[in-house]
Amino acid sequence: MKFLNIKDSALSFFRIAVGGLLIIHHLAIILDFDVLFGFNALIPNEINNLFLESFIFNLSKLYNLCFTWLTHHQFLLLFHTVYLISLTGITVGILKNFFSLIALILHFLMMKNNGFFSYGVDYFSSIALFIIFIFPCNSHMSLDLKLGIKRMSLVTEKYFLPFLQVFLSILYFFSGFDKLLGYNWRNGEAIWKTINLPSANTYISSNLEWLSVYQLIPLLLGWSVVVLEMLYFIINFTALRKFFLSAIIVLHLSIALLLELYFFSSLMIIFNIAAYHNFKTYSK
Amino acid sequence: MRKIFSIFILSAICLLYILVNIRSTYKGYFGFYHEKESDSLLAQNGIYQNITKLILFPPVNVFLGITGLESGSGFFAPNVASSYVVRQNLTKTGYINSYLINTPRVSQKESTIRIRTGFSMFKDYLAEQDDTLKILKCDVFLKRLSDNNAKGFDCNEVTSNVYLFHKPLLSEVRQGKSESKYFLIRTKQYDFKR
Repeated sequence: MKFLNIKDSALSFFRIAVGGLLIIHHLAIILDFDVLFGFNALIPNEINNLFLESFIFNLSKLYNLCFTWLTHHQFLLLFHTVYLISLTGITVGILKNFFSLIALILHFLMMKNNGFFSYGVDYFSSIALFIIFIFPCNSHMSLDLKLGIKRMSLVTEKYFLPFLQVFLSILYFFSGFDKLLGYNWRNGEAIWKTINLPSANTYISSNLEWLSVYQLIPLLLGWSVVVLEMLYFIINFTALRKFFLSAIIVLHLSIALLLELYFFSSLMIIFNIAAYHNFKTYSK
Repeated sequence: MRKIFSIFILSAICLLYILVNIRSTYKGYFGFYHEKESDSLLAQNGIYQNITKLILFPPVNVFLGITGLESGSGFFAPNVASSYVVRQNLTKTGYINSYLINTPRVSQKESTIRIRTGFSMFKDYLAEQDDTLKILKCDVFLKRLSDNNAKGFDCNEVTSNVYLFHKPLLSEVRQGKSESKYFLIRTKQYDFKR
């Protein structure tokens, strides 16, 4: 029995988990795609393009440039097909460099077709696809490996974990620091406001009204989020790793349950697990 | 050689991400604490201006856009943004019954989350003059949302109201206020001839 080392397992886990999640995420909007990012978007392409820099490309510009021989419906069908095939290619690890580049570009074109309906998950999806593109995420547990396809990458695999760890430390530090600047995060109001957003899960939020009686709790929760995020880099000390990893996963699970941002939370949990989970006990 | 190249590329990405976040922190801070003079204060800020110049340089801008690094990570910061609610009354000409809805009529839940993300643009109704492009964008969005919802209920007449939502703050709850308030900021009536 051969054991994979930590970075090989982390690379494979990251590729498979991100690819799988993005397939589900795309299927989760596919029925409404036309009113979200298509040619009948609730914010028309022409108006969206007025808010884009002229050199930024998107789906509607691509269509007008070279796909006018297709109907809008055929073009979107082609887009969905190529995008989902690319994500599947990433997940199973075949022609990883090619498919990750295609998925990265198509995701960008889709998001720029209506940036007003984008949120955190979209930015982190692009970041994840970019990471898959530049690192040799197909070096293990992939069809590329089984079929003997040459596995090249822009950067070497030994920097995968250090990069992901530094990146997450920067991300969470600024996330916490920006919150610290807002007085509402320091007096508990931000937590109270978040729980009571109209878009929040009404079942949970309506059962948290009692927090207004025990106002010390939202105050402590607010500070906990700020401190956890700002000091996230301490996760790099092995002794505290389990605590910080568990805490940040609990934070993202709370976001998923309260704000119903399931995809965003899942993606952030994947980033954290890939960066800090100890995979060394799993065998090939 | 490859090792040096890898370190260079990854360091450049991290540095760019730090710069994007610093810019976003400045923008968020001035936007929250100095809302009215935010633009002029940012224009005088050397660090912000230099980072902005770099980020808006077309090749860098495209790179940041494609890689998703263009957005800072200060979600819900420095303040949880105000929320907007759209309520629509849908009727069909000649019929008495009407539908009152406050969620976009779409097939999948994730689509609702995305459209509600778009509702944040309605802050422009409070901040902008009526003849700006931003207001035009809000008007068109509201009209198309109304049309989409009306189609879903086989209606043609729609009254769309956009509200600013206010849940009493903890400090207000202490003073005995508990009722959520909806401040009407825009109302539009449409008749979609079908």
